[in-house]
Amino acid sequence: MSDVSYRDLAVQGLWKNNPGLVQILGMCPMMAISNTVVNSLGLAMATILTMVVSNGLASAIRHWVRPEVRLPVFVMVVASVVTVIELWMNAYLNTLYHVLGIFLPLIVTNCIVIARVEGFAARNPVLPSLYDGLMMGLGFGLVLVALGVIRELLGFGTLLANAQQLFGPMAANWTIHVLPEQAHFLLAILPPGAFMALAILIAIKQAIEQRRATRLAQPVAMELPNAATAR
Amino acid sequence: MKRLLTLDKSRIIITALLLGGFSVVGVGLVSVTQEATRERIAQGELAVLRGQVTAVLRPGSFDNNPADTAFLPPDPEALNLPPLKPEPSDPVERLSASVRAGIVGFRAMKEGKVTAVVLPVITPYGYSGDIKLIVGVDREGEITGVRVTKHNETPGLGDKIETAKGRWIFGFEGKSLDDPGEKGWAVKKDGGVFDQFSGATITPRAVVGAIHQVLEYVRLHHDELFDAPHSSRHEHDDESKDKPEAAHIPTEVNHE
Repeated sequence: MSDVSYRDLAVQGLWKNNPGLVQILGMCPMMAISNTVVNSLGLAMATILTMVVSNGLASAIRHWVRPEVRLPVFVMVVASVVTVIELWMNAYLNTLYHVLGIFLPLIVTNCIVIARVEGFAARNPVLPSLYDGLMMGLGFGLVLVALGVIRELLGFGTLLANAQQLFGPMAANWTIHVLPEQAHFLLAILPPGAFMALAILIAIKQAIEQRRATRLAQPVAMELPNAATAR
Repeated sequence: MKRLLTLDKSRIIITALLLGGFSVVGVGLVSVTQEATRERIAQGELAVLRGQVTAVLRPGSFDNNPADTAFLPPDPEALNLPPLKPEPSDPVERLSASVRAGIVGFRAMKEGKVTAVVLPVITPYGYSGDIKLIVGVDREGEITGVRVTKHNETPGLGDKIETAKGRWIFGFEGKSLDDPGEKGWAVKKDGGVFDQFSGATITPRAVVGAIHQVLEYVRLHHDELFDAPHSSRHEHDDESKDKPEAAHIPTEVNHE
């Protein structure tokens, strides 16, 4: 199956089949952690790393794993990878580790990870699998960071606050103050804000797709779940 | 038929071995990483603890490492500290589990004398859930510093008790039971001297109450906290007689 096109993989992961906007997978950490840019970046990086490494490992062992035990073995691979990343973050990015808290080990249960391992890496060579993990992870991470930007900007009036948690002491003054304190929109950092911001992102994506579809004068062929979320 | 059966059996065995083999590899990978990062994780945790403890002490008021002086405060209920759920019987283990749970106090020492104590306190009166604080109090009963270690208050309103979000918590430094006095230990809305935040009274009220509780606790247990540190350390060895021991070393040094 060497007929996979890298370009197509990128388009799938980042746009057409984006985990956050189209597949709507991994919503729990997406909603909980996206209240600031730095938190989003931290979780996004951990998720991308998990997806790349798990996809690579799963693909490398795919010929040895019997179909009967494929799923348990893959779950074990993902769990080991996440635990290693968690330990490593605890050791080297301690403050961020505490901010991400339970959502770091919970990457194991993020369906997007096992979905790519089972759906792609299990039947493709190592290199495309690594690439697919990277692209799907990036697709998830970009949505996460976009949510973080919207919510931090509206809720705290800043961007990149507490960047030192991720980038070390030299990043302590990276915070960009955009809005005065009176203009903070508290709802954005509370859980409902996450849903609203995600809804807006999905709506924007749908709008772009629709416009493109009409421009190409093609009949609008929306899949059902998309039409439902497009309002 | 028989052939098929043996085939199936060997298949099952191979599959089981495969699964077992992969779990061994997975566990091996995790334990190697754990071994490699253990030292660094322990150091990191200690550094965080040290940072928290020294943050509520006056710089220069100690020559020991306060983070090494963890002790179980007597009468923990008075500070609303919950008991450990499965309480380890081994005293060393019990202390380190208590450190992890954040229910231990620390002592700042200078030239062998306790200059200040750092005590944890939990208030259940937060707007959403418990607020955990650590409070530094010196020998004269003056507050040397307060930090919130855990809270779940509304972002943008109640979270101004964090140093990252506001300077409010620094307003307690130098305060004591005599300054501002019994009536003053409340938020302004309740006739006290401490500011509430616009839109959030419950959170500051809870914090002011908890700090006041610590000051009263320190006054009540002053001897045990400041003048019998060694005996109270022995308390952990046999917990059955904790207070009497501290009581019969009332050296009553002239500390005031």
